[in-house]
Amino acid sequence: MTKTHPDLETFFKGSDLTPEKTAALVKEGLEGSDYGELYQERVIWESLAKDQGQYVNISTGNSAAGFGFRIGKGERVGYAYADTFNEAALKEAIAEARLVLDGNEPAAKPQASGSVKQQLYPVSSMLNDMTLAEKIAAMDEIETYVRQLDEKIKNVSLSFQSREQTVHVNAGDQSLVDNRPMTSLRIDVMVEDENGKNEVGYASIGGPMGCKDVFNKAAWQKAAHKAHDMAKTLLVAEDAPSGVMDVVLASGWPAVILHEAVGHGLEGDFNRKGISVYSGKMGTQVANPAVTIVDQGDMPGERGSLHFDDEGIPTQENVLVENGILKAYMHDRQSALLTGEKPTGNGRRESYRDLPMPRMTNTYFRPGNDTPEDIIKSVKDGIYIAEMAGGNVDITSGRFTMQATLAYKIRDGKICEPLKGATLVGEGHEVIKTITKVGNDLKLEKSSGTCGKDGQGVPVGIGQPTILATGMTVGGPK
Amino acid sequence: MTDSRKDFEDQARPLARQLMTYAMNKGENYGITDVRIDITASTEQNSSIENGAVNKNVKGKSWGVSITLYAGDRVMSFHQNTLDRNALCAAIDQNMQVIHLVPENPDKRLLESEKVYKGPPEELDLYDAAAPSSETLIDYAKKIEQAALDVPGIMRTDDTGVSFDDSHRLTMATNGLDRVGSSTTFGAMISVVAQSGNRMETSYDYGSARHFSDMPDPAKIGRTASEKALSKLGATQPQTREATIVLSPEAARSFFASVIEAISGTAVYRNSTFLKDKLGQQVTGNSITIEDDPHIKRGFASRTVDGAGMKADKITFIKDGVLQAFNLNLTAARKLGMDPSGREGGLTNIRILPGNQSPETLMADIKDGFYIKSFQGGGADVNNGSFSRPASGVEIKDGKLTNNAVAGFVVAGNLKDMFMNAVVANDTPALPNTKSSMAAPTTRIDGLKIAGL
Repeated sequence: MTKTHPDLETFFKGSDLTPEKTAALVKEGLEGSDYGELYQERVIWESLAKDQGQYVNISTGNSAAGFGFRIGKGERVGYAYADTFNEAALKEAIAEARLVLDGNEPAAKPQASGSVKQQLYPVSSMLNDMTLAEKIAAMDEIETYVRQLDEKIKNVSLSFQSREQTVHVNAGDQSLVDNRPMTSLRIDVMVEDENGKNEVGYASIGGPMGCKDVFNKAAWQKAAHKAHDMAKTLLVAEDAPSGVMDVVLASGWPAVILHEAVGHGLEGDFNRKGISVYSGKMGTQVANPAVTIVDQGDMPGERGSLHFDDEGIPTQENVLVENGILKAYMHDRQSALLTGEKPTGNGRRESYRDLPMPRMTNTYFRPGNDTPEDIIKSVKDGIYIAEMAGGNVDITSGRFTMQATLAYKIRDGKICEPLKGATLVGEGHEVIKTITKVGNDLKLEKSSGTCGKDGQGVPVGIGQPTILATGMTVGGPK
Repeated sequence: MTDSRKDFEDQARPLARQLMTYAMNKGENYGITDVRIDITASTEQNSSIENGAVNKNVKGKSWGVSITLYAGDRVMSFHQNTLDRNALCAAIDQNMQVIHLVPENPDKRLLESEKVYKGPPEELDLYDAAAPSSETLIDYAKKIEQAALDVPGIMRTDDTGVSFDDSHRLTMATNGLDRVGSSTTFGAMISVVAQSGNRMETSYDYGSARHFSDMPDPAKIGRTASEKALSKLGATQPQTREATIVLSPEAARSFFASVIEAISGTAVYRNSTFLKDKLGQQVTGNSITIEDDPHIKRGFASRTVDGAGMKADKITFIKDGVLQAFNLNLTAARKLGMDPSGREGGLTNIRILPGNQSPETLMADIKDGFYIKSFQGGGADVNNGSFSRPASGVEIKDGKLTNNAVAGFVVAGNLKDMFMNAVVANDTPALPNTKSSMAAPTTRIDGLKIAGL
């Protein structure tokens, strides 16, 4: 996190460059720019997967490293990347990137920067806190445990991945280094009934943590039961109905609807072009007064947390919508510059091969006063969305789609039979006006969640309390 | 731009040999029986245009080395993006030292040596050695943007981009596999925003080709994107009802992807497809024949051998609605005791053969239905058959397409019935084309649920 970060030297091992020489080249290379930086990255990862009692993948010792140099002037951006880092390669990248300038640029202005306040996740290496033998033994133990839960279990799939991204950002002023761990274990359980019909339930554990946290017995036992219960419920679930109905969304992961239906539309790049359905609406009532939406990259231990973003800006709490009023967009350096705002710590990229863009970090609805039970009780005829897969959005029209994996019918305020195959559609800016009840049970999901934009995937946290949206379109096969 | 094929092979082949020799010699102490090396290299260039000027330029190059070690039936693999022989050998050492911990899995063995194709490559013409300059590419993008903005009613472009990729792969393994291949890919796309009152709608169009000379007229890409965005303005949400749908060739590709998924050998042995017991039986409407041809010149998915080194030849998976073969990768073939399909890594250029009727005839008797231009995500489960996918398109009235745009609704049904009820028209696009490695005709499906208002 500081100039003296021990991992800084790993970027210069075997290179003819020193941190000092690099900083001088970057400073010179950014002359005449409004923004830009050197971004260096090294990712190491390993994965293990077991299916039908056999290891289908064991991969350790993987690594990918490289750098990219970016220069920006207003809307114009030049970028060049390579996987070998040395003086010749950096100079070539700087020259390539600078081709986008026209030669009439004035002297560079100092870029916005800031300091990181607190440690949000472990920054020392955690990939090897267990040996391969221990990981294999843990996977075997989990499989054995799950299989003995129920004789109707016909398959158990386990997929483990641990990844560590080390980044170095130098925007001409300071060298920032961070180490970002991300580990996950997914458990899929297939249950078959007497007629040979089967369904699969799943659950995940993970986040910015080490292998030991994921192979924690209490955690995986809980996940195993959740996956098993989901499969059993799906086996007796009926096809979801179609039509317009009241929808209660469970706390936690179903907040993917917030991410898609609202979050993307509040990203600064869309709004500087005026092509988001929220463009030009700053300061106006865009949602029901019950709704407050926050994107916050500086939450300890959450999936989308970063000490600083991929442009070197420290993350922070950004209140996007407060009591229904649109308060802020999320910016990277470029969209901040072009709209006269400050960067918000939302400039993110998938890897050194990619340009940063305004992206979400941890996005959530602030809790309200209703208990989840009262929210469900208030619905006469509707559905309760317990598990959501994913979705997508067209930010210009606001139209979004969400796929629910497990839902329940609500009748006279009571949760009734389980339903499968429900898809939700709507326009995000209309739906947030119909969110009339927000529960007091905020929950953030950190075990899974990858946001895709322009082909780049980044890990994000999402969260919400139980919420009620009145009158959504639900499509089911019934 | 220059032909980088020779440079690649001059660097990659000696490295692959050294790594293989190193792993086999040193591996004797660790019980190493086989090794596979994959080396890739690519350069990428892409640019965006805004108001006739370049506003984004990206250039990059990458290498990748993947190494798989086999100690009998114990298998480990890793990937690094370095050509540093010492670093790669150190990683080989680390993997060899722990490979005895890996449980055995006989299904992961290399392809049997006698099944490895060692003959000459097919003439596939995937590499454009006379690639144009970046100025030519940028000029192409400018023409797309201009044509899009010339259409009245377009508020602005979101992005107009052009890209060029040059990639190479060399694969070498101790079972005799030894292949090198190169390809180029050109791509161009535009997304635009149309506005009317306080409504905005976005759409896009694109074109892609192995050779730059095969790229479509740039003005057509720009105009098509603008026309698509304009046609969405004023879209309404239909009433919930039962209806017949007709899929555009684009939407049909997405529907037939479910058929392909349902005949995957992996889904068969994992007991997660409702077609698992249907070999030799009717599984779709009888107008449907699906073939996969890896030898199409300049095709996006063309190849001589599959990922395992087996010769890839043309396969008819479904003929007149009857399931002829599953798509079996090596693992699936071994689990099921059948022969692999020669499609390790996936199917290639998929073609749904044309039916007998024109699209007009196909929809002539539809009083009230929907022409689906595209699906937007959603779910199609080939295990339980549950299908519910959001869609957009236009209404069909009295057998004809109307201008009434519809959006924000869900098409729902059961895939088993949908496969059987599907009827195809005679307008399958040729392959290769500038859209996809898959070509499907206009397709009609009766008896679906439309969830809207």
